[in-house]
Amino acid sequence: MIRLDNVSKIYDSQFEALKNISLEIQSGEFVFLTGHSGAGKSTLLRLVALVEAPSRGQVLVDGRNLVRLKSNEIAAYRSRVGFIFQDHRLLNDRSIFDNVALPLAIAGLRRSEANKRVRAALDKVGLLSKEKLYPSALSSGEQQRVGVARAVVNRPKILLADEPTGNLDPNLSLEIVKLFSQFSDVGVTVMLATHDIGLIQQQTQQHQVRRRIALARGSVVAVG
Amino acid sequence: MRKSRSNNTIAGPDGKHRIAHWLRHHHYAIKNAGKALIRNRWAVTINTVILGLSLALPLALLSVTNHFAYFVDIFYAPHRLFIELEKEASQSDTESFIAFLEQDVRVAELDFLSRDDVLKRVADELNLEHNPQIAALNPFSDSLAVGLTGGTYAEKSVARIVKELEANALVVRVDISRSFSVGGQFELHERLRRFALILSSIVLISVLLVCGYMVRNQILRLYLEIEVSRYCGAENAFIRRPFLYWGAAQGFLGGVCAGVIVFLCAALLKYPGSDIAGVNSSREPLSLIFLPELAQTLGVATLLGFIGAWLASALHADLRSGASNGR
Repeated sequence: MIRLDNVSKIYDSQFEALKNISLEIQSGEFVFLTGHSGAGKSTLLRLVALVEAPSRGQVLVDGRNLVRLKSNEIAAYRSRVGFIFQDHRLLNDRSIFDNVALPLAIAGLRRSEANKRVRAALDKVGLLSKEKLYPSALSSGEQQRVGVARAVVNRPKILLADEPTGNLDPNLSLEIVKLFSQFSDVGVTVMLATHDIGLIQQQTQQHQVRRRIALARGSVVAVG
Repeated sequence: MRKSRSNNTIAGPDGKHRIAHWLRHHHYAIKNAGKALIRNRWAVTINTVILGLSLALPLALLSVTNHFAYFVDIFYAPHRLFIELEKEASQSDTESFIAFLEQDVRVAELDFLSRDDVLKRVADELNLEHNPQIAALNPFSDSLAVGLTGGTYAEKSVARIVKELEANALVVRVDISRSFSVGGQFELHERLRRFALILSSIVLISVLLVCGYMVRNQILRLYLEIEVSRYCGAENAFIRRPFLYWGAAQGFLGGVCAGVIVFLCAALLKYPGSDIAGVNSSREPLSLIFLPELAQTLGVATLLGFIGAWLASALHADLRSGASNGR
């Protein structure tokens, strides 16, 4: 379970990106974070990913305050969190296979086991046939799917996606969200930041369990 | 343990798998460092040459300083021995002993000094007037002054020759002339040693900086990879490791390059060196490179490369922990 208690994030002692946010997300829940640019969606995800620490308040995951984790615990925690970037952030000098295998290399998995998992993840996103290609040879949608495969290959408990459909057409966006739904169905907590209202409405209508948290100027303005 | 790993969001690798993880991480780091060295082969080559040129002078100086007696022996003057012969030795025995010594390849020159000559020399050294009474009481015996060839520089070699001579029934005493070990040489050696120390320190700091700067550039170039690795759960050690291997490899290559440069310089100086050495009848070939000094240089260069890389990665590639950031 993810819990944020009165969390604020202030940059350069001036700009308050998040203001006193408190919310709870249950394990296996699929949550949409919505809001305009600058609303604080990405900041919130970065706090949960422990890439940044809150200026005030605390972020708790499974009852542990993330700020108080030791450096080796931070790494262990991050290895259980999958992060998907809007701009994919694929390594252009590595093949698709090697990009997806990166989290497994970090986790220190045996090569045979890693190979199996990478192929399974690529198969899941429909890119197994392109494992030897380099990111530059793929379309934007395919690159995003590689990003998804990389995020899920180490079987994360939490999946954080920062505008994963930002550069995609509606069909591809739906495809990506369906992928996330499949992970949520097997107990992975999914937090998806997007400003694609149409996509959110479609998903929340189809799946009653989907929750939407709306942010505006660093505050939670609606939950439902 | 396995159960707790799968259920807990904050859990590291199981204890029994730690060594396997550690080994796989090192294998991954070595592979990545190797790939990066190949990918950046031109930059690596340029840096290797820079490091090689920087390290060559300290390596040569270190060799000269540590083997000073060897160089002195080649270029300055060989050892001289003063052999006092038995008083009762017959002329034919003395002549055959002289002939025997002249055949020895280690003997460059040989002077026979009669007992009167010896007395005269001593008197000259002491500025004494000729005194017939003292001449009649001459306590000295016939002697030989032997100049050894260059190359018999090692104390052991000289000691062996002295032992061989002393074993001869005609020889009463053998003195090693220390005339070549004048104070000026010791002073020169000391100055050279200090200069080598200061120059080496400066150069070694520069090696540290060059390796560190190069690794820093590589870190900045691979910023995206480092950031993505962090997001995927990489610890500081995991991120640092390839850079450390890179730095150590670069330092080692610099050391090898320095060895090659000094070797080439020695080859270029071989004939002029032999000409100078020949003045002192030296048969020893000139060498500027010695295995212990080369090993030292390689070791120090590798270590400095490693330290430089460690400093650079600590400054530029470290994990921004939740505890240190934003508070």
